[in-house]
Amino acid sequence: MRTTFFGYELARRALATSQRSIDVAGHNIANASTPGYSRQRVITTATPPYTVPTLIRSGQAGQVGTGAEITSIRRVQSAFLEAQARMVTSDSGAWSRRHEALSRLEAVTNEPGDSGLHALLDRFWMSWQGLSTDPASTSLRQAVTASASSLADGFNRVDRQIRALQTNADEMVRADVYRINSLADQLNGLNQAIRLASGVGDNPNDLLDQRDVILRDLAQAAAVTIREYGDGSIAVAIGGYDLVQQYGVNRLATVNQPGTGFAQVMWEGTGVPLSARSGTLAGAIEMRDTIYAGFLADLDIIADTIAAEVNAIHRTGFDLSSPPETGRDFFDTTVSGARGMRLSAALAGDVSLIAASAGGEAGDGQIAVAIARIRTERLAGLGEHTIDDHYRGLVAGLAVRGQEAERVMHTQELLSRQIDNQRSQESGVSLDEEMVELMKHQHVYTAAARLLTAMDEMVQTLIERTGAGR
Amino acid sequence: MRVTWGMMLDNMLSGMNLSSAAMIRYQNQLATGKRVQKPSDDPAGVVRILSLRATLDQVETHLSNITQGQQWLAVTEAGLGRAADITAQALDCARRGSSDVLPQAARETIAAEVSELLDALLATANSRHVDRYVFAGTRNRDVPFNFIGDPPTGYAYAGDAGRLSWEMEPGVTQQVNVPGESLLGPAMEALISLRDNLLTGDTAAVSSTDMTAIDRAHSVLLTAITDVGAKVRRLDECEAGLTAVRHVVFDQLNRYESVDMAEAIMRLQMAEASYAAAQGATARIIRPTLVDLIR
Repeated sequence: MRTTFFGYELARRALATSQRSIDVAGHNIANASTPGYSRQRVITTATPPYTVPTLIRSGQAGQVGTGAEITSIRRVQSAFLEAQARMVTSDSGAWSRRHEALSRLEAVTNEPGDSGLHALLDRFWMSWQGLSTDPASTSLRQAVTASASSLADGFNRVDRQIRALQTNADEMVRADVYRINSLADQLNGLNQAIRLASGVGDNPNDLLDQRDVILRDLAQAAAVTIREYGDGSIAVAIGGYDLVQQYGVNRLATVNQPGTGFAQVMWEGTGVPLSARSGTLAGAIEMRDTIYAGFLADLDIIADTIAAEVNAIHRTGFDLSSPPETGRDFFDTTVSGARGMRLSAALAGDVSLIAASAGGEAGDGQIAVAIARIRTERLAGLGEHTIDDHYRGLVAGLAVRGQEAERVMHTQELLSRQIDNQRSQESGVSLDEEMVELMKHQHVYTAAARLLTAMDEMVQTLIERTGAGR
Repeated sequence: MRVTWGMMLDNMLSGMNLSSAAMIRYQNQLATGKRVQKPSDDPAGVVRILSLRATLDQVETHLSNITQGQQWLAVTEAGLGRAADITAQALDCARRGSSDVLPQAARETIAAEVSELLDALLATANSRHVDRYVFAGTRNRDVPFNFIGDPPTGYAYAGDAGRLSWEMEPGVTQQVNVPGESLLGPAMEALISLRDNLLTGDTAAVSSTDMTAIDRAHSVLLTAITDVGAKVRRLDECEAGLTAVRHVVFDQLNRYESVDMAEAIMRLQMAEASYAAAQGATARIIRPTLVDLIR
């Protein structure tokens, strides 16, 4: 026997189901442009059928449907695409740092430009050539000290600017450490919330989305590996060491290196150094310790070579004093490297102390010729290259690496866009689709309401026509 | 394939960014006229540009050294030429003065003439290029030749035998000065002796030792002039060679460094066109959605 009010319950379920579906479509529409949002789908199933509960079945057709209900609301998302996106993000984080470092170096060296070191070197050697033709001339001597000072200033300036960039990179390292720690705390909090929600059988879709977004942020800073637990929580490791565990976090700490004062990244309270493979943190460390430091070291070699070679010849020459004096250095070498390149103070104050003469005669310019010729000499200290060649090699290295970084960045960008597109194809909200969904459920709702009316009319007919209550 | 709202927007945005980045690049090239803005634009090209610039600078320096050398040698050549003229005139004086039939008064007149020649020779020996004495070796800031006594009985040389060697080609130096004392000293001594012998009327000495000495001094000067002429020719050849090199290097540098205007403008226009197309497509796609069509 069918109960009289069976249809009411069925219509109620239909109304509730379509209402909830409309709510979910609304949620999707509202989050159409929320970063990291995965569209949600309502999983509707038919409710268990009503079987007439008698041992001896009557002649009635069995298994009467009882309507529909929502069993779960699930986000549409691909864990594989997420993992890929994280990997690409880590790589492009490192490459963007590399690219930044190289393009800043390009800006600092300013080649090919009129104020680049190459041009300053040109002018320096030319001033010695000039002096060789009229070694006693005060104006030509001044030209030599002027070009030497601007060469030294050029080296000092490039050195200072690169050191500033290095400090800047160090700040990036510290900022990344701070960011990673704060993201780890957020992940820990989300882990707890997700565990609670999963514990009561819910799908914490929006929390999971949030966690994915944070994981992507984290992946940008450092490449991560993830392990999932049955309760929905995850552990996140950087370089094989757990940052976030199922319960609790391990933080990163910075220790100031002796000497440079730059930050060394360690796991807090352990003394274990961080080994990050890619991501912006590893990129910033590479920027600071390899790209900038390497360029500085190369500049130091060039500056020291110039000072040593010029001094060696200059010491053998004689100046304009009477009697002529010899054995004086041209460059002051108390501080070595590009940062310490400086014209000898005595020479800067008195140009007559430039030793251009080989024998002591004022008109002799053999020393000036010899110094000007250093330019074309292959020097053992520079791997049998001339100073010009060596510097050009440095610029070329910068250029090739800069070009590669730009190309890789571009490729990474394309790759990441492709993955984003795939992810968007899978998980993104399509407004058209949601509109269709909306219309569909609106119609279902209308029909269910109509069903209720029909049921109601039927009962009304029964009550009124049979005279019950009369 | 599901096409979502975010995908469409992202793609359109990145398309527009790409073409506007290209526009900026070509605009920069056109504005600066330089093809290579930073080394990574063309790594190989940058190295070529830097070494071509260095070569160009070196060539310019050598050309300026050559010009100075040419001027220096011109002064030297003129000085030596004048000295040779003077010795030739002195030889003539000696020939006239060696005649025994000449009265002593006439010989004294000739001696006065020789004195004049001697003064002219001194002025020539102290020839200058700007502020340096060309016959003074490397000690060339001070007057090199001075007469001792008045009338002069000899000369003092304040210069030295130093060489002035300037680099005229990469790695090649050339001496631009001539040894002043060994060229002009004998002539002075010969002229002083001629004047003295004319004054004392020693015609035998005039006709033998003096004439021989003057003749030798004259031929030394002539040889030196030939020598200087050869040096000038060498410098001229050097200059011609370096000027040709400068043309080639300049041309190459231009090719590496400068932007090809026609190409850059064409590429800029292409970038502009694709930018406009991306904008147009965006405007068309963004407008209609299903939301507009249901109602």
